Amino acid sequence: MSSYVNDRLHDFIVDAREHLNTVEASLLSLESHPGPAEHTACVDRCFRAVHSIKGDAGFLGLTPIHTLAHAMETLLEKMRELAPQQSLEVLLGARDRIAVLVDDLPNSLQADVSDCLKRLQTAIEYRGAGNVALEINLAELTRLYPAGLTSFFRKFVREGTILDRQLDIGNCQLRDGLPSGKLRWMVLLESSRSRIELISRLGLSGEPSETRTAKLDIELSAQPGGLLNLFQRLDAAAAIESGRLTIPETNLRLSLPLGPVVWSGECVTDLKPQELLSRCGVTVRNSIAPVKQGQPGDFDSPALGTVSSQLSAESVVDETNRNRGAVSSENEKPNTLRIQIELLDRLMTLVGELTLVRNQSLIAFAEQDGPQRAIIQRLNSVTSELQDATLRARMQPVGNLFNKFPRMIRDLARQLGKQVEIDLQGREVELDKTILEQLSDPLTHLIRNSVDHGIELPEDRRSKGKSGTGCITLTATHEDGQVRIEIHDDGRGIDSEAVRQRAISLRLKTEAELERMTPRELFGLILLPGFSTAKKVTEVSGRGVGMDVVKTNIEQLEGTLTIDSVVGHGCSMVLRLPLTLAIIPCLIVRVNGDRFAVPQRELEEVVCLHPSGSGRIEQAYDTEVYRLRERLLPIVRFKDVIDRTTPFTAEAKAEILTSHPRTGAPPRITYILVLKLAGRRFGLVVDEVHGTEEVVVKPMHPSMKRVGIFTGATIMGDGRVALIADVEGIVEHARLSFESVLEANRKITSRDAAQQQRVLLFEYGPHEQFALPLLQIRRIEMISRDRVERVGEHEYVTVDGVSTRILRLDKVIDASAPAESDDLTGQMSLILPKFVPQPMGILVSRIVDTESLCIELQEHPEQNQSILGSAVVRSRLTLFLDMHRLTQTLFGSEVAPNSAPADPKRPKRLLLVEDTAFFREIVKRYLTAEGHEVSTAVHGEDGLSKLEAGSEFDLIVSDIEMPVMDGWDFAREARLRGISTPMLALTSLSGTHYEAKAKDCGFDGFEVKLDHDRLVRKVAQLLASLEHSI
Amino acid sequence: MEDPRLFCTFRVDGGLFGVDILDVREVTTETTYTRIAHAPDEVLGLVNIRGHIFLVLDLRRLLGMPESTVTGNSRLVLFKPSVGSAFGVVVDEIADIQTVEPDRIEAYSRNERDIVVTNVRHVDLIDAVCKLNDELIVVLNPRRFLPVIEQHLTARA
Repeated sequence: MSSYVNDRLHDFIVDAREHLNTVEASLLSLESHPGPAEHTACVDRCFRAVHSIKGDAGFLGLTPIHTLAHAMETLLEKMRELAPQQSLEVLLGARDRIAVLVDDLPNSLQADVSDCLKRLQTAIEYRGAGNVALEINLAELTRLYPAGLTSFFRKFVREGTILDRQLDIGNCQLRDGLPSGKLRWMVLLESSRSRIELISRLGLSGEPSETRTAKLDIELSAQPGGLLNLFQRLDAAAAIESGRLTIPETNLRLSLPLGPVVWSGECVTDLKPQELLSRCGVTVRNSIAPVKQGQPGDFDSPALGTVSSQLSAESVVDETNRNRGAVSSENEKPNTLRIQIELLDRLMTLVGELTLVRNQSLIAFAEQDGPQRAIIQRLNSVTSELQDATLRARMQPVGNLFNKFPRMIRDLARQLGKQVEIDLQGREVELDKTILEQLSDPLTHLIRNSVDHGIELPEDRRSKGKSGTGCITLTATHEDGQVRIEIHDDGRGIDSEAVRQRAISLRLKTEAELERMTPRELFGLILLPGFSTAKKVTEVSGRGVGMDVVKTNIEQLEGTLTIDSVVGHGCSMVLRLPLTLAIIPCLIVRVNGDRFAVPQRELEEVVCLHPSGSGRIEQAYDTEVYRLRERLLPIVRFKDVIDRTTPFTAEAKAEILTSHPRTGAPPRITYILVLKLAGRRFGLVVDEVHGTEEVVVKPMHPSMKRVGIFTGATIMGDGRVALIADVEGIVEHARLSFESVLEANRKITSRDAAQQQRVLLFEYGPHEQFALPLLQIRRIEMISRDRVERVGEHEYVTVDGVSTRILRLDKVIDASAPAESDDLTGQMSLILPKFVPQPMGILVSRIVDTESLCIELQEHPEQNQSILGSAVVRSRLTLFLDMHRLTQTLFGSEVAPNSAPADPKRPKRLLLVEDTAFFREIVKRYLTAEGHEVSTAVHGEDGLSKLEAGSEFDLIVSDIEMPVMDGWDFAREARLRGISTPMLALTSLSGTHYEAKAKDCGFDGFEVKLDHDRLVRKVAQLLASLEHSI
Repeated sequence: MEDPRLFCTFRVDGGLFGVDILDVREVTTETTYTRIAHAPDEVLGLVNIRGHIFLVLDLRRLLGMPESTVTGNSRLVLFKPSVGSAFGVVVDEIADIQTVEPDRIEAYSRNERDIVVTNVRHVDLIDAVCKLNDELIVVLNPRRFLPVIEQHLTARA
């Protein structure tokens, strides 16, 4: 055959298939007894489609098809009035036959279609009863039969058998009277007469009554008979929906309106405008025909086993129009094009290769500057767009797949004697073409299952209180980068007990295992091979080979299937599939020299740990952790995951912990990928990070699918294969537990909170950074140099009207001095401390910041006493100053400490209980300077143990806010245990009620941190009272 | 009279082995592969052949022989889709294509055998043996290769 003929035949096949779809959909619609207008439209549509097939087949010499189509046409002609069920059956059968012939054109020429033709012929000659759907306007009827409707109905029942009926009343309150709007009686009659005959015999008007919305403008002043009369008549004829009064501009206090007063309104009525005019004397401005006609013929007819589908014929035509080029009867300009799939595949492959070339050029030209860069950037962006566009070209609406289900369900339901409806949602959701094709089998199987095993027989359903017709809802939605398809039926559901029994009898699971399973996991057992709880194997399903095949099919698509069910109410099966054969952005990393791709979807950030930086990987409980902005992140080292082939056991975890350094700086630069999965974050340690790339995901080799830590592979720019990490798989493999970390997080934050100190960081000279606790600072004052006055050796500045002595740090300790500048207007700051004997301020060149820290000070005994110690804060060595000492040094021996002289006889032993290292250090110093012996404890419990250890103390000084055991409990407990040593509370809490509480708990004194002089005085006082009491 | 069969033969650890030529897709010199962590030892890794990714198995290990390094003579024998999806095996040295008359081919069953193949541990991979010019060609069944790998993975889990 010549290629011309081949093409023509090919075109015929494609066209014929679409026409056949239209025919099927129209016939199914006819079966559900639409209203008269819809009925005619369906028949017309069907006719046109069959006519096209006939024409094309005749032209190409495909005689059997031509003959069949011709016979179908003849039958359809007869069905414009009456559509007996048998005719529909025959037509559907003929349509199927044509479909078979079209699928196998070469053999169709010899096909014998005489049996089909005979059936069609019989149907054409049939003079028997058919079903007529009538819509009778009762309002009209009452006019025709003023004596009453009984005589009408007597005539009516003689015309045939009433199969179903429905009364349609408009929206109204029956309490207010009989409805004034539409009042229709819809009936399904089985009769041998055609509709036209019936209508004329019954004397009806034959025109379908339409409920209209009529807009009225009534000039009220011009109404004879009075307004009340008018509105009463109007009310009887129509249901008034809204009304508005338009009055010309008038001062109503003075007079009634002089101009026309118009009432504009909308009312719903069955009457035509002329009738309204004759009955009420009102002119209709605008009469709007019904926008939406309900389906008056939607009868739930038990005897017929119909399928009422929400997939109306119109929408099918819309969709077929969307997908095809030439449209038969409509005047639309085609905006779609039909192309060969092979061409599209070739396009995709070429785009894929172009992407690789683009990647290579990016690498090759990365170093270069100049015009090449711009060109490469352009190449990059164009290629990306091309990629996106071609991917989209392969996407098809899922409705294409869904469309075949109504027919399938209808046939299946009839075969099993059930009634089933199907509801399709989300038909426009798009999926890649290949995925769609592969989805067809599993979906079909699941739906067949639902009809066969799920939906019960009508009697059973009704005995349970459900409606006789079962409903299957098929929904497609986008969710989370995936497509979600749900098949829901309201049938008998899955009996979990039966599943359990079956699992045990098949020895699939033990009782104990079954106990531990969630309902979902239990239902998931159905998907195992050989599992079928159907009592009877039907032709349709039940052999137990179905579900596991479904599962495999879906898994091959990288999808998942979950089953939910409530026994007695129904079952819901949810498929989740990836959107496309993906190209996903990934971060390329190196571990042990090998390259891996980590999908960006789960990647939140990347942290770099430098050997000289402050970031550390620490250990907590059984995992390594990293502190990321005050939260602990569990850490997994990718190397460990790769090295260990089995999921981590507790021993493995312990081994891993010991193999890595507990603390200390990382030996070399390490990268932590912060990954987020289902709301939980964790860190993945890798050796190198290379950059992001768009990666074409090739599914993992089927034999390697069990390797959970990889989700696929890809070909890199240099042609080598790299594996794509599966974040979820890694978490599972490492048996990452987030609970212990959460717990640790809580403890750490509470511990830190207790120990944290707020300090002020500042600079004086160019070299050092200093810190002072905020607790000791009253205020910071900005001063300009020119305010400083010199008196002899000392400098003063007036602050708040008080002459304040200035302390220069370089004069007191070994610190650098700020550069002398001639700029006398330069600004400096002055720290004004609390608790000083005379007004003074510490000169500061720059305030850095305040910081909350828990400080471990490194002491420098060789340094000046004024330096408490040093620590690294914000990567700088920071000197912590002793305010008291500074003050002392400044004022020298001018001010003598006014405390009682220390008792030279025997140094007193003091116990200092304080959790904050900083304060512990300071207070210890203060007290030791007074000549006392100071022992320390870090919290209440520690303090108690020291007391229990037997050491005798002369005085206890205790903080209040401490972890483990606070000061209140400590004091109470100590007193309970009979310890009578005087106790002094030293705390930042202040207020009379705290003082009272301290007394209640057993404290003898209460001091606020941290006034050196007061503290020393109080201590001396308490010690003295002790002596006196002895 | 049956047609003679053609075998693609190759050497592994000195022994001469073969597979039906109809099962072979191509023989290539490409031997750089990407290792797959957690895969059984028989899996050498993944390789890129003209844009498609293939799984590479080590035939030595599959047959239970001591391992060795890839040399310049090593070749990758890729199989057709009907044998298994996208995979191939690395052999030490490729040999000739041999035509063998069906009467010289003896099916190798576990229980009754005249000829004992000593160097192969996993004997269920052997389909048949045939004698050719004093040398024995051990004909392998490549369709069993992937199931062996999958079994190892399942066993471990």
